Amino acid sequence: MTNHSLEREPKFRCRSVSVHYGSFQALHDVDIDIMDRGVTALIGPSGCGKSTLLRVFNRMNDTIANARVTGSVTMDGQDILGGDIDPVSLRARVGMVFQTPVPFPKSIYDNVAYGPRLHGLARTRAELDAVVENSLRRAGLWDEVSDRLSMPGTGLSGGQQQRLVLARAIAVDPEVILMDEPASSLDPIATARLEALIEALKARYCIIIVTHSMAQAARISDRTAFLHQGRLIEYDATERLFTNPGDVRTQDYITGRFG
Amino acid sequence: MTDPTPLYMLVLSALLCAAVFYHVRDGARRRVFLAGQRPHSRSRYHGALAACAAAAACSVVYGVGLALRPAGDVLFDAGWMAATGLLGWLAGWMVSRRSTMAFRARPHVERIVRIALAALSTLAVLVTLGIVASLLFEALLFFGDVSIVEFIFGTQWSPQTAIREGQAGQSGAFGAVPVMAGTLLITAIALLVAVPTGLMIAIYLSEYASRRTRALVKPMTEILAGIPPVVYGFFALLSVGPAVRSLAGALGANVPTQSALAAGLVMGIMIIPLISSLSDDVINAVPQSLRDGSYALGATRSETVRRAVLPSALPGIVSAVLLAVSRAIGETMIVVMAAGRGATLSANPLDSVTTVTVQIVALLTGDQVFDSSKTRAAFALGLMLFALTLILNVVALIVVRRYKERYA
Repeated sequence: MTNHSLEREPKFRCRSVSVHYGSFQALHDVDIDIMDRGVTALIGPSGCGKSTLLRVFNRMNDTIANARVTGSVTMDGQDILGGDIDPVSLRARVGMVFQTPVPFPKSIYDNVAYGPRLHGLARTRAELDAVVENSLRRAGLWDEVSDRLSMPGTGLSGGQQQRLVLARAIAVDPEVILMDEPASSLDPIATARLEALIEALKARYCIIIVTHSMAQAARISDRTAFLHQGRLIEYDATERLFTNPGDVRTQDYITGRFG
Repeated sequence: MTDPTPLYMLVLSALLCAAVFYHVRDGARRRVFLAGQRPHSRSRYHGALAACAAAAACSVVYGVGLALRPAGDVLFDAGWMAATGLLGWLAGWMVSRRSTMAFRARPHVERIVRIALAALSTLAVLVTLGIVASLLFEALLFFGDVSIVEFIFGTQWSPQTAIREGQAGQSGAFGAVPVMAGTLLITAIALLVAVPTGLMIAIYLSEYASRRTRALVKPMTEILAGIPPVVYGFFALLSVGPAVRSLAGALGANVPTQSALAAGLVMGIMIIPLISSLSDDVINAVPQSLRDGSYALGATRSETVRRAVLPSALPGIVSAVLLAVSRAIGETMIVVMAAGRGATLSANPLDSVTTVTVQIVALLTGDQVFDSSKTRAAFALGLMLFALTLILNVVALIVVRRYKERYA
């Protein structure tokens, strides 16, 4: 493995992280540093553990009954796997967008206001209005929905729904946004919009994205990690990994020989 | 002694149809086997069509025979049976004669199946219409004696005086308000008990309980649903009623053993499993991705339940509650035993009240002539009950549909 060290202090530092689901080990001793204010892509064939690794960063594996995470993960130098960290407040700092957007059965406004209301981020209605507008603007959805905020979120198109759940995550004012194959249910135009959005957001947030599309990883990410059978095979600056892979398995995967 | 011959005829017809089916099917199968080709319709469709023809012939013979039949004539019965066998077999044979490679039996059988299913569902509709019509008819007769305005708005209910001829000018009082009020009071108490409890049970089972706890608790609550209402009636009369009475006595109130509270509490317990079981099912049907979305925003488990899961499950929960309401309104046994019979108009749950169903029982049991105002009043009450549950169902359907249109 090459080049774990980053120029800046990393946002996340993982050391020998393993995840078990019951007796199945999904992740083997992964060491990885994730940089702040940039896009890190996780790629690899299906079942390689990239989604599992993503779910380590906001402790979503806690919601799976028989999942067990070992090793050490720090965020800004603070341990986030320990018992003294509250996964609920961690998730307010580390937002997540899933593969298929599932808006809550509420209006567009209430979908975005969901997180701020939970965490008491707005004291007055005017403040909440501002948070909702801001989040929708940053998610690139404001112009399309500003005149129908009271309509149900489920009535939007697939691409709009994906941007709605992105706005929902942004509204909590997180430091990190995790994305689990966010474009897999979108058409090419909606995908292009989403990618432009990620490009714009990375100045503010630490973004980690799981993707099946190597072209997408190459387009939007600064660093790329290649996982295979639960192990981190290679992790490098995206350009270097795609042009000059250090491992034969990485080369086989990015040239389409397997996976 | 009842005459068993018509029953024997039915058995004979059924056996005959089965025999025709197997005979024609096997005949067709043998020919196909010999020819080694692929027929238009599989042999069992040939058999099924022949059996349908036989059944049609048998029904005609049965109907005609039943109409013409003199009582106790052995000779006629023998002829009747012979005619069934003969004509049934003949009908089957007529079909089997056409049983060739090209015979298009399958579409015919499919059409017959469709017609039979449609006929059965029409039957359900007709029975419903018939019941409504008989309720309406008797209720209209009743409204000839007692004005409908008095019935709906009258606050006096004492139907017993109606048949006492000696009391000059007395025709009883048929104001349904106290009776309806009793039903609504007891139903409200039952819902106050059952809706929160049932919903909490459902939430616990689907969101918090481990798989093992769930496997244990869910069947236990469903056993509650299997207890016959009359047993709940004992329980209300012998345990809950006296308990309410002594508790109220300790607080300085004088309460009868039969009270709306006792009946409502027990009825509430009875409908808990209805609400918990159905709500548990709809909560379980909420996709996991919706919960994940909420957790990922930093919501706790209870916040997720309250703000994301319950709103999604709301239409299903509403219909569960509605089913429970209909059950509570129509429930008779518990209230007969535990609520009393005096038609007092009261909103005090500690009073003894009566309900629509109890009054219907009271009006129709015992020696009655079935054309007095008293017995007809029972039909009017039944009609009122029917209208109430119907309105409730329609309102809930509209609410649920609105909600689904918006969010599902």
